[in-house]
Amino acid sequence: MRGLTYFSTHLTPRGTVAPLWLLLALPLAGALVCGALALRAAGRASGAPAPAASGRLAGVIAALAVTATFVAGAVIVLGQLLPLPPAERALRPAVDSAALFTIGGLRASFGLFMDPLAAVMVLLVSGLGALIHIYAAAYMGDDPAQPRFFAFLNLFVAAMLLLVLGDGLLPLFFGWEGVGLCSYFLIGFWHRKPAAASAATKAFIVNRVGDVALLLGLGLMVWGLANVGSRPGEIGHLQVEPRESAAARARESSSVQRRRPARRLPVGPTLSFSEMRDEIGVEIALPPSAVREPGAPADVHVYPSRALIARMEVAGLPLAFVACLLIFLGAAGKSAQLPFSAWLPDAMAGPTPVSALIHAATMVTAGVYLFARLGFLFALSPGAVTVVVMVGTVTALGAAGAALFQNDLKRVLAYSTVSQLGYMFAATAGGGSSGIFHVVTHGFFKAALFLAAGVIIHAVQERMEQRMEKEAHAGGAEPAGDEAQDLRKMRELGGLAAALPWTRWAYFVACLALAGFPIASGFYSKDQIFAAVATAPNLLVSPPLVLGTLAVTSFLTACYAFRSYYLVFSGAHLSDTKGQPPAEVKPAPADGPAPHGSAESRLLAGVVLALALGAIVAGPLLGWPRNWTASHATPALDTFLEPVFAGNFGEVPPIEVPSPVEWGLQVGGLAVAALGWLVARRLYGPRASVAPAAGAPSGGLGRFLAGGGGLDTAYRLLAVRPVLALARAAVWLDRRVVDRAVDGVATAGVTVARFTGLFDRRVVDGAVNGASAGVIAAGRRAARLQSGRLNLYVVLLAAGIAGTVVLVYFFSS
Amino acid sequence: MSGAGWAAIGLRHFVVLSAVLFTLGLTTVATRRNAVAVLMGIELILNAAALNFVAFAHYGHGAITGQVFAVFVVVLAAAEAAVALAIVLSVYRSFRAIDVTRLETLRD
Amino acid sequence: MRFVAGLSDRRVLLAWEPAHAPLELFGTTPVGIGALCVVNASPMPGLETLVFYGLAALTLGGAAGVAFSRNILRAAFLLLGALTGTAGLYFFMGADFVGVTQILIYVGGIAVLLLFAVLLTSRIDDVRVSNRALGYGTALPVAGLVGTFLVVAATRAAWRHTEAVAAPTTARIGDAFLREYLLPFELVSIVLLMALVGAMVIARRAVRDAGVAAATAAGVSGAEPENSVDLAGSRSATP
Repeated sequence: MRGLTYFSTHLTPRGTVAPLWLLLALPLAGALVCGALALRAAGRASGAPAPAASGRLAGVIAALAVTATFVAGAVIVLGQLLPLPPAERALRPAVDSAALFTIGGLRASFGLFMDPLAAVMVLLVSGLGALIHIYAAAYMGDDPAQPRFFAFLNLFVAAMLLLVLGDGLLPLFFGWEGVGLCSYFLIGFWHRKPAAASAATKAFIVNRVGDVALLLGLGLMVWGLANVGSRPGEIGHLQVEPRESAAARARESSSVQRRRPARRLPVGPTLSFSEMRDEIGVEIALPPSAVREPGAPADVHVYPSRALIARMEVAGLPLAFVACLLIFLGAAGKSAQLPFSAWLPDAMAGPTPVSALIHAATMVTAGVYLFARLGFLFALSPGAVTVVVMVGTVTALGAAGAALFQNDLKRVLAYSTVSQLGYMFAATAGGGSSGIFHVVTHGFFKAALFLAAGVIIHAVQERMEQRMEKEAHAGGAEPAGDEAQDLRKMRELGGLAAALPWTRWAYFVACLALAGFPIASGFYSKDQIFAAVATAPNLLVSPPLVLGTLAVTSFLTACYAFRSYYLVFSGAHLSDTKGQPPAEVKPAPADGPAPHGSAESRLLAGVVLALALGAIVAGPLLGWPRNWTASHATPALDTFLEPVFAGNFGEVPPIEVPSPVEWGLQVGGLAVAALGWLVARRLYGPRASVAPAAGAPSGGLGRFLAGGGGLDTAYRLLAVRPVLALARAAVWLDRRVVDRAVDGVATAGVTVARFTGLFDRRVVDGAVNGASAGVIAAGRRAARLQSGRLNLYVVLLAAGIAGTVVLVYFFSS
Repeated sequence: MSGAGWAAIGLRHFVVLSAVLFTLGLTTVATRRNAVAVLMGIELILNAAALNFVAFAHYGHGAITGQVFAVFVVVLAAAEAAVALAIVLSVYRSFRAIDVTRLETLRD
Repeated sequence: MRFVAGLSDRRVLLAWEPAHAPLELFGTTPVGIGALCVVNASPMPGLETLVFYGLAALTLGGAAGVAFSRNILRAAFLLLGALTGTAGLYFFMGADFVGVTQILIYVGGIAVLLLFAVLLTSRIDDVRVSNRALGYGTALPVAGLVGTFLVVAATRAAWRHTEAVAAPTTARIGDAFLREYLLPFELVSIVLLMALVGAMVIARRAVRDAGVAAATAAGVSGAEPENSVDLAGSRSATP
């Protein structure tokens, strides 16, 4: 379009150079070293156990690698990113492989890019990763396969960082698949346990199903970009003038009005997220009279790409809607939202550090991160936003209900993760950075919960073994069987409060955070989530409905959180083994190797405490609410992440929650949390009645929820059975049809050969022999001419002459 | 003074006669086992030829040549008969028989 | 009728004119005259035709007997008849010298010789035509074919013929021998000489082998199955 000026208020900054590859290289190096150790251990003669030293060495190396990564990340963020002005906060590596290759009109790039969002994730992943690595190094103890474990754990960190730092589909997808792969290996680390192996397979397959949807969705977006505009599919360039947004102009002092030079913006289909965002954000400066948008005010600018893409359709549905839905399905597969949430509870069959790192803090939050990255896409489709919010809310509610009826401690925490992830999805779809804030706080307190669970498991195991030894020495008859084991474990639960004081305190704090009390960070992030949902600009359902559901979910969250706390740490419920034994919270059976002495457990407890402290501190530090300050200052994280989310909805400024509403949300949140605590305390607390229906879920709803909401049954019917039937059909086909065909061909070949042989013998040989026999017979008959008989000679002579004469006569006449 | 319907005796008649005579002589030579009988057949053949000669001499031009050759034929027949009988004697000495079907050594 | 002068000095056959042949032949006997009247009076085939066919019958009958007779002695005598018939035919055609030569040499010499040979064979009734591979079945068709062809050729051909005048031929033949056909005449003489010598040589060898000269009627040893000929004499040891 000639005579038009293109401008944009939210161009992705070019960024400065930073050693971003280092963040990937360090954990990768750790993974390689541990992998080498693992191969060396495997190459040893089978039967000779690997020395514990190599395991410990692997643990140390891995922990060092990730710690170094965290340090490097901190240095980069603090030293290079923060000093930059907010509008220019971007880092790119020195060797930038943007535009790796170009297929037709599609630009494929494999570049790294660190903006504030990526910085937050990097710090979170590497920080939590470092702490958990240290914990794991102590936790795994004498497990002979430790090098393999740490190799995969480091590889996971590397893949997660690639996912987070990648700018575009290619690095994201490499990281996406990488974390899925490492999750598979780590869930199934104790691969001889059938439960672990099947859980790992389940997780991987569910993830893969989601990945297909993710690829479809992103591909659809790229196709949309390719077909928008006047010359579809072409790579072009626009001269775009960066302009300050109205809000930024208002924020900045008017004295400094930097006019940045125009930039050449490549337009067309691209795999890079930043380029996608830039393209969609381009505006055209039109004189008001030229605007032909129906119902639009006269001074509204037209966004060609955004408007065009928002109007594009595929198969009768809006393109943005379909693409966002597909992307959500992909994220749901990775983040265990409905309908893909069944793999996470089963994934608890892996070691506890794995559960903490991967399935609480980092991998499952990859979906949320993707949503934050692609916020500009979700802004195009209110329908998709609504669907995501609804699904997230329902998931949160359902998972919270299921968590209430679990008997396995780790499964409680798993369902809790699913529920909290639902919160995050609802928040991020609504726009803004509240979801990321919750990712950070959730990472702290959930990791603290999981690691504390690990300590508890170790302690129970240890005490049980001690008791068994004592009983064996005493010569008492031990009832065998699993039930007896469980009984013994439960017996050990009593007195844990005294044995593990620090862990107990940390667990309590984490529960406070989870429930959403203002002391700990969960309150702050949940508050922001409520606010975001309330003010979501694209939501098609009424916010009060969503808020109400989330409130109920918070109540349930507090319930199950404190239920688990009381069941573990208050020993009042333990009755004798006779009668009705309370089927109390049992740690996962045979989880982890034999624990060690108190020196180790001090380290473990220390990590847990550190995480709990983080859970306390992170909230107020990062998200101090607006209405608690006089100046209504934006919380720190919000400010930091603002450039990432700015401009997603165009020039429409984000709606600010009015102060009374915010107060109301906070008070309401606190109220439901307190209510939940009280209920749990009443039911399961120290002064509660003995043996309530805390154990086996009594009602049908309870059993239904405890069983994961029938998802597994749905999977079995919809997916597993058809696939198995297909496999059986294929086997039948192969055996009956293909093998028969092959056999038939062989038989046919043999038959043909026999026939050929027969033919050869009878006909061909017969012909040859017959010819020779005929010749011999003819010769014999002819030889009779030479009979020596006079009469014959005479007759022949006469006949010959007569014949000749006859011939001559007839032929000459 | 020939009767009606009977052709006058001409060359044709003699040629036919000699043809039949020749055929009979050929049959004798072809079918008889006795060597002497074979010789008789040969004589018949020679006679047929000579008859033919004389017939042509009588009914054709160049009258006397045929008769000359007929004389030759007779003379040669005599010589041949003598020699043939001597051969027959010799054959008998070797084979102890004059059955021509026994004289098969030429076969090899 | 024309009477022709009777026998001439040269003792040759009476030359006659065809129309008067019967008279000269039969003389003026009453039988002859009677026959002549009979012949000339009725619309029958002429005497000439009758004579020809009679002589032909004699010849062919004899030849047939030679071919098909089982008895070889009978065959020999029938050969005699056939040769005599041929001589008669020669006379019929006016070839007086040839006819006489035929009678003298063929009939009187060769046929007698053959007769001697036949008579001297032991089992004279043992003539079987049982050629193993060459029976009547094979020979007759071939011979028949040859004969058919010849006859067909003879009847179909357009012979140009003229009647020759009957005249004594001896002088003419003698002339021919010593003029045009001198060489063949001499050669035939030589052939005769060779045949004579050759026959003697062949017979002589046999005689020498036999060790006994002279030829008499040799008896037939009953051990000989076939017609054994023992021309050279008595039993002789096989060489």
